[in-house]
Amino acid sequence: MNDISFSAKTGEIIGFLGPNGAGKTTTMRLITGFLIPTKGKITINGLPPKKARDLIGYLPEENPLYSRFTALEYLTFIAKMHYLSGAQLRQRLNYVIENCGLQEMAYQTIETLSRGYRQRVGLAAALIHNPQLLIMDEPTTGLDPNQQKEIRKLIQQIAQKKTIIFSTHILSEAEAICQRVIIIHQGQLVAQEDLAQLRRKRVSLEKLFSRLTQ
Amino acid sequence: MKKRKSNFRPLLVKEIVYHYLTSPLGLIFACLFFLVSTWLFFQDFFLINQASLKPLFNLIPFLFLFFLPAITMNLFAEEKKSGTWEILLTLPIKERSVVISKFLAAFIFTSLVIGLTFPLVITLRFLGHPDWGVLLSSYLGGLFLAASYLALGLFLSSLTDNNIVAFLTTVFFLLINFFSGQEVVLSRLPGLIAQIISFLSLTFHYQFFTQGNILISSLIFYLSWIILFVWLTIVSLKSRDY
Repeated sequence: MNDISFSAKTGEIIGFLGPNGAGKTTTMRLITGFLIPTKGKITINGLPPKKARDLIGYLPEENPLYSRFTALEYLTFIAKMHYLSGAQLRQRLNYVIENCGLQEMAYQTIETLSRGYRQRVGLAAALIHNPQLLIMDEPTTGLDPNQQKEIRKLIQQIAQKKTIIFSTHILSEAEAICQRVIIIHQGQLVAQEDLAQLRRKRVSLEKLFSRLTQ
Repeated sequence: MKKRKSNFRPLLVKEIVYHYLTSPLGLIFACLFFLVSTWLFFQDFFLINQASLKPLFNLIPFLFLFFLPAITMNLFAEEKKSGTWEILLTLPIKERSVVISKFLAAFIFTSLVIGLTFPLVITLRFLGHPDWGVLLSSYLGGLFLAASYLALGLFLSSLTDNNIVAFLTTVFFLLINFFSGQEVVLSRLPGLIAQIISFLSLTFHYQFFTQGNILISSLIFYLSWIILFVWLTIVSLKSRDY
């Protein structure tokens, strides 16, 4: 990764675009503090990622989960690791279970859940501590069109009071829900575009993408 | 906001111990260990006609050699493979704390399994007059030996994303360490080298415990070994970015 610089505000949904291997996942891992940059600085509300873990919700690529748990057990575990307890814990659990549509699946082992529901569990876990920044690495990959639509709807629902950064391969998806897109190619930031402006200039995202990344 | 120290999380230890106790692997492990140790004990107990667990304790280094790597193999390898370590390491918890919690959990589970030999102690109590001092120091030695094996296994598990590789490398290094403490090997080496090598062998120190001697040097050796490998695991986990 080289020379990537951008900032994000509350309420913003930013789409991370780029061909496979461009460095999207690495960038996201840097923001979440899973990796540490060799140079440069990342701050979340003025804090370095390692100190801002309560502010970040993270849904990694491929949505890894401790699948031996039931959905409810898993969410409770993650919540407790975030130091939630008592009434606050119950309230957050209810909130994410309801908002991610997990009511009927709460007592099922994650192993036995369908891909779409697993994705919801992952998203619910990323949201459980009410983070200000939500980072999702290809949240809709591998889902069928209906599930994709639902996850998108969910993202838009929770976006109002949060900052959301997500990566995707699907350009129409980025166009549908992002305000801004960042295009990464070979570890470099090659474009940062406001989608409304792009539309005004009548430039299609698809053309821009293929021009910049080929 | 509450002041927190994200150093040590009993919750994580509890979850892992619970997982051991409820997973098929953990249960099979416990049953097997119980069966093998009971069988080893009774096989010549009435022949020797001594109220002692010595035959069993003599075999424990060898038993642990194959049993304990199975306990540690998935501690990190599994998480790396499934990607869950990305979840774990982005929670508000330090690497140090993750490693110590996992080590403690494995140790607690192993201690519980070792505790399964307790009925044998009761048997001894009824059938004869065991030497309680020797028994106690043997158990202590067993626990230190187990902890040392686990620390090495934990470290090797953090180096790979493959359970089997973690298991086999741990068995391999423990075997080397085991043999370097045996008379067969030591008697063929020149005096000083033999002394150094035997001092580095976990089983060599363990013998003293089974004879009822608790040596400070052995305790220090075990503790240094455990601290070294737990620390190496932390380093290995922290260096994931390179």
